[in-house]
Amino acid sequence: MGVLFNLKTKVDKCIDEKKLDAAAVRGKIALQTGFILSLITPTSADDPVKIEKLRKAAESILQTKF
Amino acid sequence: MKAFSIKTKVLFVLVCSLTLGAIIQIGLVRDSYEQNVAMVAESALTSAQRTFDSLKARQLSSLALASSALANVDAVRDLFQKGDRDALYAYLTPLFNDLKSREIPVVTFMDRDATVFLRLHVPKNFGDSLEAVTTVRKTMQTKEVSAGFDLTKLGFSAGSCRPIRDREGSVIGYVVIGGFLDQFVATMKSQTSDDYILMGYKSFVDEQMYRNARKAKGQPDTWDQFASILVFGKTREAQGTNQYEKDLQNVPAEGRVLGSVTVNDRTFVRGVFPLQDATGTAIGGIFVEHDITSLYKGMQRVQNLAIVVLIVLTVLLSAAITVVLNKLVFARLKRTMNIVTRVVGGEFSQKIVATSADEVGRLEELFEQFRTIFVGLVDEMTKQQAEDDDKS
Repeated sequence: MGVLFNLKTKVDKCIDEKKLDAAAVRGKIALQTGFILSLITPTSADDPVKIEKLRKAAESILQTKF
Repeated sequence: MKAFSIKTKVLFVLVCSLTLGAIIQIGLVRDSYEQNVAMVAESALTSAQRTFDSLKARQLSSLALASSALANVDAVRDLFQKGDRDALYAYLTPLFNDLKSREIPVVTFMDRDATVFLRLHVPKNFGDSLEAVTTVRKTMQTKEVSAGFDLTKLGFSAGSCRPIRDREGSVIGYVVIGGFLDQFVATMKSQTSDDYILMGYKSFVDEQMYRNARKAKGQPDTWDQFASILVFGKTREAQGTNQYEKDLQNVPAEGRVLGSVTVNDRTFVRGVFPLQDATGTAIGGIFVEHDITSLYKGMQRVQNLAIVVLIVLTVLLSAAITVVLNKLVFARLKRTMNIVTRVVGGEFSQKIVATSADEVGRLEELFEQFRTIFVGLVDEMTKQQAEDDDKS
């Protein structure tokens, strides 16, 4: 438990560091993955499919390795 | 699958439509030009033929008048009947000089069998037969005056042949009065401004006599210029080699339009009408060349203008349509897409406001309703998740 949430936290942090438009970038990631980042909590299940989708979408949009 | 934006597709359709329109327009311009050329060609041909007929009638009429005057003078008749060649020549020399000054250079007396008795223009040449000359042959057959054009051993000539009768009315010989047609086309040009080339078949002409005559007149020997035809008069040089011979084949009596040709930046429309002797046999033809350079350049101007208009119109319409489509559709779609993305990204307070009541406006309304449902669902799921977390 917590891998998905940790990944989501890293993505949020990267967005902040790069000073990007958070809502727009998170929206693009959500549209690509098919789920909303806001709904990922520390208790969210670590669905490997979701984790892979998020990682791929974040790397593609933020051009950063996760 | 390669995707093209709507903007690209619309512009593509626009350019295609305008190009098609321009092609049709250019086609219509060309069609109209072709029709005008055909009309001008017909008109030039008709005008040339009328001018030719008028000049021919005038010339043959004056020849007939002269032959009548000669054949009906008693002194002439008596001297001819006596066979006194020298006396006849001496008697007629002053009159012949007058005729020559009026471009009637041929006066020939013949016996009943068409053997030449006296040529006033070449008194030393006599004794040969002119029976082969159509106008003479026709007079011999009908015993009446006949007049027409002939292609003789020397070239084209206009002649009037009349029987000479004794006091009892019996035919004792014939007199032919004639002139050559070398200057005929120059007279036609002075009346119509068009150019003409007078051509006849070689088969009627004696090669040696033709060459000698050209040499005597100081004109170039053109016997070998074409295979089966000869140029007997022209107001401009003949172009090409074989075309004239083909064009002369089976020309109908009313003539034939031969289309247009461009030589040295000048465009001409060509035509030909036949020349026939007194029996209606084709002996050659007159080629007509009417200058249509201004008409052709006018057509080209319109065609070029159509292309320029097409380019300018394409650029202007493309720009106008791009601006209008951007304002009415694409900018509004982009704005809606941005808001939807932001809402999905967590900015649930963003609202999609319909900017108009048109199709895009209805889409904006629909998205706003969808956004409301979506935000409600997310809110509900968040609460549910919080409750589940509390329970665990």
